[in-house]
Amino acid sequence: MTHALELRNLKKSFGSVEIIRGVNLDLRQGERHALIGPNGAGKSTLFHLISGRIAPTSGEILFQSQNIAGKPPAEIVRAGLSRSFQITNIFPQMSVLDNLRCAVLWKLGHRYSIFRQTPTLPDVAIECERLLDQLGLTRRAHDTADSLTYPEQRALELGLAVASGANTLLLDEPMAGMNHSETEAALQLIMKVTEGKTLLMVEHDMGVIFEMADRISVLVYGQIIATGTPQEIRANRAVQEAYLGTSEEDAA
Amino acid sequence: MSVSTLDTPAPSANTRLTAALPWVAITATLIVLPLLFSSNSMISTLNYLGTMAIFALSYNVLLGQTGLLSLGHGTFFGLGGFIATHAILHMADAGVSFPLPLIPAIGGFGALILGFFGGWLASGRGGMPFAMITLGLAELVYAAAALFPSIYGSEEGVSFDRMDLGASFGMDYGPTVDIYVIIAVWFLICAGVLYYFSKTPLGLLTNAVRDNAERIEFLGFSARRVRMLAYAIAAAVAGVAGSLAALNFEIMTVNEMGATTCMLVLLMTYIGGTKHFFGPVLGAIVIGLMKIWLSDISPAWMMYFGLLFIFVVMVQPAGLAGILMDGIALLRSGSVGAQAPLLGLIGLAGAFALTGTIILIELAYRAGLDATLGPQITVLGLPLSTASVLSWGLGLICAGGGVIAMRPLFDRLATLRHSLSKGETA
Repeated sequence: MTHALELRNLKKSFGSVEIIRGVNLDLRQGERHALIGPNGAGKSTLFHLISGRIAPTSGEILFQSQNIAGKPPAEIVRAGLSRSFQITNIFPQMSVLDNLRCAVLWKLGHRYSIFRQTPTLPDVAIECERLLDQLGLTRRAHDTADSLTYPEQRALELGLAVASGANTLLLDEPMAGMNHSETEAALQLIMKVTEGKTLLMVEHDMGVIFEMADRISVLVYGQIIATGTPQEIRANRAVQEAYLGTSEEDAA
Repeated sequence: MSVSTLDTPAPSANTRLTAALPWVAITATLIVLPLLFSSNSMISTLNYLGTMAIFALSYNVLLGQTGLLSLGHGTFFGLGGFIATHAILHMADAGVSFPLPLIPAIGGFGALILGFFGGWLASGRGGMPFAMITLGLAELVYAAAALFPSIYGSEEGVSFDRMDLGASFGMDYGPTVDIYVIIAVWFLICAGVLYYFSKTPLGLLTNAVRDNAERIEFLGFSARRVRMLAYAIAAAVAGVAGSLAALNFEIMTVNEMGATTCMLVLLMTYIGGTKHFFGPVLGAIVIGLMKIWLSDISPAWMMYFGLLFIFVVMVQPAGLAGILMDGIALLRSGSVGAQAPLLGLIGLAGAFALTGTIILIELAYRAGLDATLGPQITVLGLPLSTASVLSWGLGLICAGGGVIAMRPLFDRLATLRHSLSKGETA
């Protein structure tokens, strides 16, 4: 079994405080893997480490057998690992279409080109058309991103991560702040646009996690205390003690 | 769902025509202007406005497009001018024949190379660090210029004769109008290139860096590289503008790249409007004319300059171009008739406030700075005196009355517009 992503004894300290305390985790090719854990467990920090936003103190991050620990975000994206953000992180004054154009320019090889006008590039137009259709944003293509509704902004946030062409995606709470019906729609959207890709996702909604995840890892105080199928995690006593017992009541 | 509304690879002839329309209008204006204003001093004014317009357009690549506040853009204007000056001097000395209209290409290319270097130093981060580094670089170059009098000249600068390179393209470059032709053509080239640039992938990425520099990194790009390229391109066009200024005045001084030039381009661009492509051109024209004409008729012209800046910042952050666009939108809305009485009253109140302000400023300048000229002064055709309470009272009443009347009028306008928009939807 080849691993899409492998974390080996990953550590991160801020000053004398160790936030990530030796994380070991592997992502199988094509699986949907959920990362859960109580607030402050270090889930977002772990995402920042993998995506290059911050550099780890020690340990290895193997992406397709290459150590990407400490590399800048742009290099990690080009290697095929992209992410979305918990707090919507789009280009607010630009149109939805221009947001997506930015995201597809690198993979289509146009990079920093100054020799063609972007609207006249047929491959960009076709790719953006496809993405807009998938995300259900076709009618909003020419509206500025900050005029979108919250679920639409979240869809665009997801779209930027997908558009970069990466085969492995890190999604940081894609349903954060959504109501029940919006969550359901967002779940369908994520399943649709990430088909065939490897997925690591932080999520708090247990319903969502048990519905979509192939495997679940539980992060508590900077360490993975269990990894397994949803059934195994549900039955795991350590997890129940640390986390699930209270959360399931909350969810119910 | 069909997405035929998206930009398609082959735009129809019709959309191409509308896109070309502003350019045709600008070209026509550039041809007509010297025919309308044919006196030597007017052509000279047009030349100055043209170079400033190019300069402001180049600055907007940084300010409006990439969201970078450079406090040292004047450096490249000056360096481009000096490169052009020395190119002319050396080629004239060596007896090389080189067409004068192509000299700005040399100045622009030199500024491009220097811009890459400066951009490499300055573009690690945006915002405050960028502004401070550009300010530092500008001061550095300005201070260093004093160490090389052979390059930058001393107090009196470096002068040359633009006719030394000989005639080309059927012009000998003696008359000012020959320089007008060069500046007009370069204006079209620079505006065209910068407009094209804004539509390219790199142009799109500069907007992305302005909006959210961090996210662009997570899409595979280096925000630093984008900033550096934008900086170099802006520097190159500023270098062209500086070269044209040198051709126009036949002299280049160190002051041309000092803090005053850096501030001037920032004010022109901001007042004109950073959100519209031609906003900076508008700002360059308005500020340029104020500088030339207002400084002739009033000692307080810097004061008006500052007031205009404050007015624009407070009323319409999109600048004069934004105010113009609002006006056009109003005309198109079809409700001008209903709004006209109120707008007229607001205009009247504004005129009163402006008149009062001008009277007060002129009186204050006469009473203070120019007291030796005596108390009698004519302002806007009114015979006033700094010794008369009546004069000061008139100014105060006009200014105060205009400002006080403004608020209820604007409230009424807001109410009217609200009811109008309701009527539309009903």
